[in-house]
Amino acid sequence: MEDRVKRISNLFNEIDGWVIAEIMLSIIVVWAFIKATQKILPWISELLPAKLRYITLNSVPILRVLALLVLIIWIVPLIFNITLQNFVFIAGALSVAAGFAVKDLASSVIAGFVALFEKPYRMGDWIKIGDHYGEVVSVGMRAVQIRTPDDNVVTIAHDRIWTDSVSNANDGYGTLMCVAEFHVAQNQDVSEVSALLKTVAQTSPYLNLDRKVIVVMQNTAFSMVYRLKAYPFEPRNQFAFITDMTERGNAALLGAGINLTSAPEELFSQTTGI
Amino acid sequence: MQVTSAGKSDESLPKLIQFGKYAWPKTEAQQTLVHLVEKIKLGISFGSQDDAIDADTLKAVSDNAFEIAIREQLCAKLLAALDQEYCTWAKTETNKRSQRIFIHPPMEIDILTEWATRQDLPVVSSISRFSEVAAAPCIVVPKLERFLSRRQVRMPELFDLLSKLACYQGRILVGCNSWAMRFLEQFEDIRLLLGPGQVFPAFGADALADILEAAVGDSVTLMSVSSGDSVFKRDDEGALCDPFLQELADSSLGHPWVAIEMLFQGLAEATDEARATTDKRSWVQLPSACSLPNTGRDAILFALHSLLIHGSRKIEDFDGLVPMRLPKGIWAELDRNGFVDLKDGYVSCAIRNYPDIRRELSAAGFNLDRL
Repeated sequence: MEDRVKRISNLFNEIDGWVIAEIMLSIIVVWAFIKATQKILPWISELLPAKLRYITLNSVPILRVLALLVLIIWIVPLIFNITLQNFVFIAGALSVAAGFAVKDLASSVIAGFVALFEKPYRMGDWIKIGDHYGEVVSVGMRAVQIRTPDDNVVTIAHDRIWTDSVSNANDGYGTLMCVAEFHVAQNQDVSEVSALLKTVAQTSPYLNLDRKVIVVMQNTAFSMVYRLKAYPFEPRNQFAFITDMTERGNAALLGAGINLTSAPEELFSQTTGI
Repeated sequence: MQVTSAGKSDESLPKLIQFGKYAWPKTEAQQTLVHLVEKIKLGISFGSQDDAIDADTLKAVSDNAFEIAIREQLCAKLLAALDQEYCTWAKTETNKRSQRIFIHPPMEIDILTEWATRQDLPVVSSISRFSEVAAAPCIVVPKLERFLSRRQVRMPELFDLLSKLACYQGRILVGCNSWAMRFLEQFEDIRLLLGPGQVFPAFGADALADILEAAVGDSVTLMSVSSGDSVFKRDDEGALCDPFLQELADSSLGHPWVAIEMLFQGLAEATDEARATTDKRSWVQLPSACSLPNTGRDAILFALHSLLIHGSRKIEDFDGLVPMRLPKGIWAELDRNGFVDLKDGYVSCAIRNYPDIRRELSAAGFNLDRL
């Protein structure tokens, strides 16, 4: 019994008032640093173009992990008497605790760490996980937060990357593809419709001029489906861009005497996946 | 371009360079970061740095004769550069079809029309005019952006002009604003039809000194407010000692017509109390950066981008060129802030603040012009 008490007491250093003060100070410094980066860097990024914004935003979670590592390296030797034997003992105890008590939390934290390097999503990316699509506004230790087009913030635990697929629309780049769909009656001049829709996208003020405009078409039973694909210069304009292309595209088609079709929604379900 | 002193006319003559080879004084990222720092400084409101001369002893001046002399000198330089590049080509008697395109950032003067008029070359200012000059061996189409309207229904008009140009059996010199060119580059027809372009080179400190010294001569001594020295002072090796002109060249993105407008904006002379009767000194400093108004910012950015692409237009022409309804009074507000000039119902880009406009558009992610 005495031997066990002695072994446990050997795990810890002597903790006096100064050590506690140093631990408190280190926690406050790291906490202040993390909070400062979380506030200042997103603010600065809002003043930057999309390209630089992503670099700035992506540094937030990386800086947080680095700060936490520094905190651990700072605090652990103050509390624990680090030897190989003690390390194995502490690691074993923590593993058991994590395995039983907080396994979901541990899974999310580990997934978050993996996500930091694998980069299925980064701050500023437009992602879809499950039914939720939106812009990544925060990448925390346990979860990622996205802001949906309806201005809801959805929190999704990182461990969803183990089981769900993550769709990333821009993958760290400053632009993403937008698609406007048009259902045109059959027996219309295909090249005329295609050229007309292409010009609609090319004259949009939202267009990213560095990327090509593409028109893809597919026959369906009731209509010819045209999908106008183009990139906006700013991902946040994606819905305005799609609206602009749709509005002007419909007007252009009608103005050129081209008939649009309208049919029950279910009849068009087969057109997805062009 | 390397210029070491005034008066060496052949060496100091700027030569047009190939489109795409323009040496920007600062990279886009640098410009954006500098702009960011300036905005932060504006927000924090730093105290003014120590200048060599007390700002209270200076008053802003506007000297018409001084401005006219410099503008004429610059115009002469630019025309000489166009002469050098296009004169022989335009006057060559050959039946071979040939086309050139001259691309330039926004300018107050229509330099290509000026050049064509001096060379007695027919200028196509409207599509209807094209038939009148179709028999000429060489024609000039300045301001291609005048035929452009970034609307799906108006694009056929531009393509109609391009078709006419494609059928023309002579030499064609087309002038186009760099922002309009950036937009038009996405259409393969333009690139194939007009071929590679030429642009003015970036004017550095020496090139600016050359223009200013030749224009003002001994009548005025330009002094830097921050250093208190003459901006033309040179060391033993002929290099400029004062950094003012280099800073001016950098701030104006290497466009000399922007640089001189910035110079005029920051021109001052001693107040009557502080001024001696024989004092021929004028004081110059870089104007402070401008920030766009925050109200209606999105609409303002789209409006300015559209203005740069289309050039000077009637105010009402912009209603269909931006994706949203432009708030009433937007142009008047931009005029008050010095970003545009309003005259007789027309709106045009204020050249003196062109670098600020470009930086604001860059920071918002808009497609910028290329040179």
